[in-house]
Amino acid sequence: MSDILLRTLGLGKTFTVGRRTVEALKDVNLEVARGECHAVVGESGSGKSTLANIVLGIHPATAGEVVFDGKPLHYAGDPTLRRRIQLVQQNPLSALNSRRRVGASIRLPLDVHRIGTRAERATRVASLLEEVGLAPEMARRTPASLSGGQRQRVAIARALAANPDLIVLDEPTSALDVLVQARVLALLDRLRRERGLTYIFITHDLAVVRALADRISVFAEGRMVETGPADRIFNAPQAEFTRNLIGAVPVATEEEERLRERVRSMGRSPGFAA
Amino acid sequence: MRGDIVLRIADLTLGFRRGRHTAEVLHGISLHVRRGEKVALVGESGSGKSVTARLALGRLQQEKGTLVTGTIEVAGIEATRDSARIAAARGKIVSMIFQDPTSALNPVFRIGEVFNEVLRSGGQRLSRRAAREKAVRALAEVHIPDPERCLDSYPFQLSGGMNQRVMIAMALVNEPALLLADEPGTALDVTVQAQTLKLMNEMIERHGTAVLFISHNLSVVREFADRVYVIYRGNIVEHGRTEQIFAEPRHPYTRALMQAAPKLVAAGLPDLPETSPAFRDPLIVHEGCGEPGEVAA
Repeated sequence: MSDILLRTLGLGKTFTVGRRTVEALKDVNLEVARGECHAVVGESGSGKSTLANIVLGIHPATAGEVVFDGKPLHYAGDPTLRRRIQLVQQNPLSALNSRRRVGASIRLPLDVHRIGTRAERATRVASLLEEVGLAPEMARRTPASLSGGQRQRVAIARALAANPDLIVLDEPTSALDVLVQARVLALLDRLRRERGLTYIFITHDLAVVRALADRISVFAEGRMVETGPADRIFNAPQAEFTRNLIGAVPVATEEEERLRERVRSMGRSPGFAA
Repeated sequence: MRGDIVLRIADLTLGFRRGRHTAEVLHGISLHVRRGEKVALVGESGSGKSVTARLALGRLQQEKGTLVTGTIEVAGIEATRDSARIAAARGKIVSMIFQDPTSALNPVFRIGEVFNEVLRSGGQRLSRRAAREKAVRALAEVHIPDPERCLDSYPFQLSGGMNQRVMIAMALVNEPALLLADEPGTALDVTVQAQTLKLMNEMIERHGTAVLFISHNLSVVREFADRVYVIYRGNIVEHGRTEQIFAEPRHPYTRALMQAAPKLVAAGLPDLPETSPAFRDPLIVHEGCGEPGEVAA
């Protein structure tokens, strides 16, 4: 068993818009180790969501390949491999079917992948709700009657239902209030430890992944410009783009301000050695 | 010193009546902004921060079922009951910029057409040529590289950052006394947001505009504001100068917000409640701050 759960080899994606072609991803070689939280950071148009869509099998790649747990992952391929990769989106209100009760939404992956008997599925929904910190009675509620934080917990429970190895988190807390965000981040961290999950955490906000990420890959204009351990990325960013990104983050404390100033000054003195 | 107060809100309450039920949204808040001052109103969703801005624009008063008591004064205009006068002054004495500039601009009009409308609402009778020249100057002031081309563009042809600049130029072209900024730039990339804040700062200092800056993000507030009000569920809970609030947050809610804000330095994940009875503790006002006429500072 390899330490690398997911690997992309020379991954590329080109979109054709009329006569124009847009290279959304160029030669991306990403390695996500088993059990790590791997943050993919970039601004809009950096290709981070395209990468997620290919890993999730929503879009086919136009170049290169994705290897998951030692096997090539084909677009619309093996459903058992697909079961092992799940998604949590940014906006839980649009990610959850508003007509479906919460319990039915969480049960859906079990139905789709034919996991357990009918009775077993109901028990499993209740235990999933408890695992994400919600009362089992919530299963009868509709998404509209829940708070933003509760909805995101439901979306997380649904992602866990099929017992995945890898969860792609696409800006999972950016639609939430700060206090709610802190709680959801803590939940995600706990679930990863308890279940030995691997995360690909997609975000534009470096501060959000500071406490969670083991490794960070920074994307700009479809390319991976930098990858490395989180501590190294924050303390000694190599790529100018990464430095600009850290330099632009608004900060709440003097300690952060010192780090940001240090990173900003690295850009000004090219002779700086990390 | 009362002469330089551009926005004064005192004991403001707001409720929405639906049938026999009234939902109380603001429970008697007071705040003020002086000329040239940047004041932040910080809170989470549902705290009442955005409705406060809408009241100052005169956009809620006329709606059915809205119950307002207390005082809102914008540049000497009483807006609590008589929102017609403040509505007429919109774009001229008070203007607003929004979170997502691309959706705030009407997609079927070119930037130039919207600009003309803004200049007209400012009561400026200008020839077409003079209006265009004025718009070009305003766009150049916010560092738009090719103002002529920008005026002939539709909002969807410009980037989010460009639209944000257009919004700032439009909001300030009539030299308003008060600018309401509702989470400007939060829909944009971090680097664009940083540029937006820098630009707003530059423009406001040049024009001496008073700003009420509405945000959920303490870090952004620290970068931008001179003074801060923290609002929780319709009550102001802490008020102080920015350096006071950040050096020594005193209210349990402010402290929780501060701890919850994601940090650039490794600090681990805070263990915090989403809500607590202590968040409803009474207002804490820092030294030297206070509402005009209330505290001899």
